[in-house]
Amino acid sequence: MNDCVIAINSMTYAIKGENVLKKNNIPTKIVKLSSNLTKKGCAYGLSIDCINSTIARRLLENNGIPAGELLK
Amino acid sequence: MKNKNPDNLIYFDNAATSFPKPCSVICEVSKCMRQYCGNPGRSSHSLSVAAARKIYECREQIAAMFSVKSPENIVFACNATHALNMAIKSVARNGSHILISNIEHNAVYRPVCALRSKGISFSHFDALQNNDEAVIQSILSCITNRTNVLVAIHSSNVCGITLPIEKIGRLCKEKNIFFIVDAAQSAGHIDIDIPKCNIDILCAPGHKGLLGPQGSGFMIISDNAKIKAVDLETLIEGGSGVNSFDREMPQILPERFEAGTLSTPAVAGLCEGVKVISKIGTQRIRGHEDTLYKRMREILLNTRDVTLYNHTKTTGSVLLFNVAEKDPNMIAANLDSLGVCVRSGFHCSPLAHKVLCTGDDGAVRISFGIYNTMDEVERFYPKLKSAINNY
Repeated sequence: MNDCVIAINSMTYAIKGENVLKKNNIPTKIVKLSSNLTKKGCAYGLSIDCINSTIARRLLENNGIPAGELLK
Repeated sequence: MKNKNPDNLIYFDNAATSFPKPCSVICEVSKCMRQYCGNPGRSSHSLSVAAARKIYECREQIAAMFSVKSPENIVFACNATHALNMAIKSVARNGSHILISNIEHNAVYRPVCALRSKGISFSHFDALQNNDEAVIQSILSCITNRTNVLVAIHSSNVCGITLPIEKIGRLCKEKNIFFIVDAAQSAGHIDIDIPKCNIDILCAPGHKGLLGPQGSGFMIISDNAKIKAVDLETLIEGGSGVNSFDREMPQILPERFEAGTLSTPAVAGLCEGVKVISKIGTQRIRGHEDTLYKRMREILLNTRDVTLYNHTKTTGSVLLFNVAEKDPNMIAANLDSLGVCVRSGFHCSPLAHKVLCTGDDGAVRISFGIYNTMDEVERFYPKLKSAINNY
């Protein structure tokens, strides 16, 4: 169940992040974030199972993908 | 490397745009327009994400080809001219001095001329030298204490000269000069390793040596560029799909420079073109073109009344010639009537033509591509003689 979202600041990084997570067998889906969450207008996120959030964030950071807030 | 032209046409104008295109390129453009041509980076619905995935795949292919670690450092543009404008104007500052070669295309020459009104000066170094060291010496003699950008064509679109970009890059690194390379004629023909050559930004078209559709081009910002992306000025501003409430363009690549909707079909086709080139390998392509070049050089040197410019060069993919007392535009028109496509005139490179002293009407250019054959070169000779005799 994908109940957490890691905010990502661009579609390019969202695709890159999706590739990294899928390569590491972490199911994920690109979602568009509500603007009241981002305060800056359009943004994207990677929805994941909360249980994978720590490892997912680490994988993203290790691959140079700026991961934003973890939204539940 | 087989791909037949229609109606036995001989296409020797690959420096303008490559033709024919590989079937995989044509099929992918069609597939994109039929199956996944959503607006990339503007939504999270399936078509938009599918388009964004294809564009990202193309960034990965290009990054691998030019030895760049970060696919997001590939910024798509409409063509090489667009990319060069973005690159040059991103680093030019009031008081800057830009160094360019004396064989640059108008894609470099006109932007630097336009920047003069903003307090930016430029000068030329001499690229037509007998050896690499002389080119470096010419650059050194032109550097001033205000020189902060050097823009160099990698391979000339007029005479096929290839500049020693690895040596120039090393010099730029030593002198802390931002190094921009115009790879319009070399991308897909010659191996280019961006970090090894200390290139800060490389610009290239997608529709020439990389076999993509027209309307595709890109600039690559090196992982080690001397100026951080956030400090590079944008050429155009607009929608980027993210941070819509901000008044400024995003600070991250590639969105900082990609205002407006990308041409997904063009990028999708380019992705397949890059795959074709990567599979064959630039060394093999270069070898093939050198073989054609050598034979064509021999033909031109042995054809009465023909002047071959820069005739000492023995390898490459571009040959420039004139026929005594004949208008090059008429020679090209006659060749066209015989089923041969070549380009005459000044090739948007008045600087190079001036250096080569081609005269008031320019010259005729033959430019090879991956799909040209020795049979076409041999068939060209009698057609050239007819074109001259029917003048």
